[in-house]
Formats: sequence, C-alpha cells, structure tokens
Amino acid sequence: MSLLCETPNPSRRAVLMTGGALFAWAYLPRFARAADNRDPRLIVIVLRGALDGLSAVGPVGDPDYVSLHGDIALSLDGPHPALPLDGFFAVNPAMPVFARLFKANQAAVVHAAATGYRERSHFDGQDVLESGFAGPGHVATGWLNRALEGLPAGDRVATLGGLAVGPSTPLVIRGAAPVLGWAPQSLPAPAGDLAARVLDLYQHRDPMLAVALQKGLDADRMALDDQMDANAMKPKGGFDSAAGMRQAAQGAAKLIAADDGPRVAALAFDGWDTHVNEGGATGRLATLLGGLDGAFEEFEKGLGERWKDTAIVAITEFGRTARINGTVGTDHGTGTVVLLAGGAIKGGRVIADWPGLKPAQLYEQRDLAPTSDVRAVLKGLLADQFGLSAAVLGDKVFPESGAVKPMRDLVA
Amino acid sequence: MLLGKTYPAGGMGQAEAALNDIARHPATAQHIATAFARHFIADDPPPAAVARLAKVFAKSDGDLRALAMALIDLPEAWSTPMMKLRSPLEYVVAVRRAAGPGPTNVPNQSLGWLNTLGEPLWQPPGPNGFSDRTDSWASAEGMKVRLDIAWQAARQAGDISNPNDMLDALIGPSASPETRQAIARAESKQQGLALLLMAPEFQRR
Repeated sequence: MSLLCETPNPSRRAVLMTGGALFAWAYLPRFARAADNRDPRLIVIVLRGALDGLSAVGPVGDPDYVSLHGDIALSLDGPHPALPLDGFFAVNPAMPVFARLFKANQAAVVHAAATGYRERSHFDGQDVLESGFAGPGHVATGWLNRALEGLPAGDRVATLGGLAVGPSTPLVIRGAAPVLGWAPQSLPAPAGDLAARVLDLYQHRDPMLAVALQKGLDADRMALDDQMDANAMKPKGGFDSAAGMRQAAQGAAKLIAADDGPRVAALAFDGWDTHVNEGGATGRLATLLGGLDGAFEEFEKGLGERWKDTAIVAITEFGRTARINGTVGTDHGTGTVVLLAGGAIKGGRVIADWPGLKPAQLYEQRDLAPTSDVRAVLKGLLADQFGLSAAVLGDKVFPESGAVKPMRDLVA
Repeated sequence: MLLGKTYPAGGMGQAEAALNDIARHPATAQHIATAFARHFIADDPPPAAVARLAKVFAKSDGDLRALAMALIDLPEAWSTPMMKLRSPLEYVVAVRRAAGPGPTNVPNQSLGWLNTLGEPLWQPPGPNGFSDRTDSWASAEGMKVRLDIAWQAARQAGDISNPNDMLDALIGPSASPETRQAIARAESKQQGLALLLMAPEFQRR
C-alpha cells in the first residue's frame, strides 16, 4: 500500500469563497468581439486523487499492458470493449462522448505525462500541479490565476476574471485576479422579497456586502438561466459522483457561455484514488470517467456556439502504478494522461512519446515513465488561447520552468 | 542547519533545540502578534498594536494568556469599527444562539451549513488553515449562502416572540436606525428574524 493516502473528503455541497477582490462582471458592457471573431475560453478540470492513465486511455497495442494491468486492463474485445482512438490506444468505454469528440478532431490525449513532481504524496502533488511551482509548499496562488494576472492591463479576459466551481475554490485559480464562485445550492431559496429587503438594507448601511450579495444572486440566476424550477440546480451528488460532475459542468457552462462571463474556469473532481477494486471497463473508475465524460458533454451543450473557441483540459497530480496491486487497484505512480477536449482543440491525436511498459522502461520499475511535462501542455494552451508569452509562462505562471517549452499546435 | 545555526545530531534533543529557537525568533513574535491582532482587531491591524503584542509575546516567553490580557488592554481592540465579517463558524454559532438549535437538535444541519459556506469543520484546505480575512468570506457565493441559511434558520425557529425585541437582545446598542426600521417593517416574524440574521451588525464584528 502507499503512503500518505487519505480518502478524499469532499464537502458535498457547495460553496465558494472567492479569493479576494470583488468584481462586477455582471455590469460590464458587452464588448464587441475581436475582429477574427474568436473568443477563447479555457476550462481546467483537476482530477484529485491521481487518475490511472493506463485505465483511462489504455495502450491496448502494447504487448506488456495486459500482463501489468491484469483483469482491469482495457481490451478491444469482450463484453465492454474499449473505444479505439488509433491503432495503439483505446479510451475507456465509459467515455463515449470523448471518443466521439476525438473522431471529430475535437479531443486529444497527451499520454505518459507528469508534472515535475516525483514523490507520491497527494497533497504535495496537488500543490505542485495547481500552484504551478516547481516544488510543493506554495499554497497561496495557482497558475491559472497568475495567468490572468500575466495578461496585459485592461485585457478583456483578465477583466472578466475567472470562475471557480466546487466545494471550495481550487488552488489552481486562487490568487489576486478576480474570481467568481459558483456551486449548486442545496438550501431552500428564501420566500417573498427577503433578498430585496436585505439588499436594500445593505445599500444603505454596507455597500461592500450589497455588491457581494447582488453578484451572488446574479450568478445563481444565470446558472439557472431559463430553468423555471430552481430545484433543477439542487445538488445531485458530490463532485466525486458522476451526477455531481455533470451538474457542475452544466451550471459552469451557462456562466462561461455568457458574453460578459468569465473566460477561464476551474473545477475540481474528487475520488480518483483507486487503491482497491478500481475496475476497468466497468466499476468504480469507469463510473468516475463516465462522470467526467458527462461533464464534457454538458460543456459542449451548454457552451453552444462558443464551444468552437473552447479548450478543456483535465489534469491530475500523478499517475498510478503500472502493475495492479493485491486488492485489484493501483497505487500512487508517476506518468498518466492529460485529456483535452473542446472545439478549439486540434484533436484526433494521442500525443505520446511512448516509453514502453517493460520492467526496465518503467519509472523506478513500477510506474509509466513520464515523457511529456504537464506544464508544457498547459503552457501551450495558455499561449494559443490567450497569447501569453513563453517568458511570462516560464517565469510568472510556472516559476522556474523556462526549460519546459510550451507544447505547440494544441489549438486548431 | 537552520536559520544559519547548526544543531548537533542527537535524537529528539536536536529537534527540540531547533523548535525552541524558532519559538523565540523575533519573526515568530511578529507573526503570532499579527495573527492575534488580525483576528481580534482588523484585517490590517494598526502597526502599533501589533508591535505592542509582539513585545508582550517576547517578554512573556510566548505566554498566550499574557498576550490575551494585553489585547484586552489595547485601546485599538475597542475603538476599531466593526469591519470584520464573522467567519462561517462564528456566523453559524451566532445563528444557532439567536434562532435555536433547529428542528432535530443534531449538528448535521449546522455542519452542512459550514460545508456550504466553505469552512468545513476542522478541515482546512491546507496546513495554513482557513483565512482570517474579511474579503475571503464576503464573497458573492458566501453572502448568497448566508441569505439562504438565515431564511432556513428563521423558518425553523420554533417560537419567535418579537423580532424587534430580539434585535435589542442581539445587537441592541450597535443597531442602526435603518436596520431597526427594516426589521420593524418585515412582513412576518420569520422574515424579521431572517433580516436580523442578515443585518450588517449581525454579520460583522
């Protein structure tokens, strides 16, 4: 068994503390779109607990795969065949939406990827993944927030700020740049005109609280949009459940799709720490992957015409052992996948410098060896979507990472 | 090697010696004094108050009781306007004290409120704990959730005698005329109580 493993403890519901500055996106004028009519968005999904990349996107063409991953290895045969991506890789059958997007060149995979972190602590691994720093211990700001800060003053994307979806603001988007929080709510809405009366009182006595409350009510209304029944946005499950993931994406999509809504967003989904009974084509991990697939579908639906300018990236702190353990699960490992989806993605590709799965090819003889740096992928997306320079990316957004070059041409 | 000083190897004693030196380091006094003053006085506490507390911390060799007494003696602790927002834990406790334990008298609902407000009991997101600054809690989502909580608590309150009397009991001396008026004009006792639980004088401290 591995060390330092804690069962994720998601607070089931709601909430979001926006880290800091308040902003008034609800009141901004609608800007004319840029001349090329591109209006890019970037959505970051953090999969906490360490996703088994070899079960999400299986190297079914690798002769050593089955012997390592045993009964939970994906296969192109059998009752639950994996969905082929190319001649070598196949995606978990729980992800038909991703497979469809891949075929339509709107989804891609970067395989055998890892951050610069090489230990096996979830906490430290997530800190590195989300803070964007080279090592653990930086827990105040995340790379996505610093990317907003790195944009030129007055830049539209920076002005519109970010969106944080989840039980608490994910580290990746914490920081000085303005962030709006949203999550499905579980409490009954106040009856009558209570909200209006409280707002009126705040406007007379406490303008700061008035602004905050007004924005909270606006965000909730926008996320609900045209759904007549507010109950439709009651939590359907935590962010470690398929229904909860789908719902989080559904609400977030409405906020992000708005002309004056945030252009970057962060969500955190829990539950990927599959030490025991992980399952393969079906089972625990497949259920979670189905939730992630549902989130992709909700973003595609909810973003409407803005889908074509959107990039979604799903990242996790590290991978899992290549060989299954004695409890039909996998332990903390190294290399894993980065999943990319969205109309902006130059898809239909599994990007991998495949290291192989023979004992000598494994990292420390146990993990998929990392041959791509997750930061290169993220830098590539930030550069292509928002025009951030390699210098800003290597210095400010991902400190001390100048040697990690942005991966080119991820965006169509 | 720590802060320029080398500690000879030798089991527990080595760590204890290092910890003692860290505890007596001037930066520690400053850090603790700032955290104290931030919690009780203001997000950005007056430097004079922090300096005074740091001095007491150093002089008393880290006696938190002495620090607390010094805080009470500080004029700034009494004169600073109520600008801090109650943290979720403080708010939920205050709501319970004001409106009662709820229908079942079990903590589940209160714990759920804390989760929803982003301060799950004893589960901070990192070792540095929850934020102690107002702008971390006075967020759009946070205030909207407080409104929902105030309404739920008011609806569940068994016997609301008179919201105006409750105002006097809970926030009497600090209540503004606008708050008094808003509560007096409420359309129901439940709404009056919910307004009281949302009043700036109830949210801030």
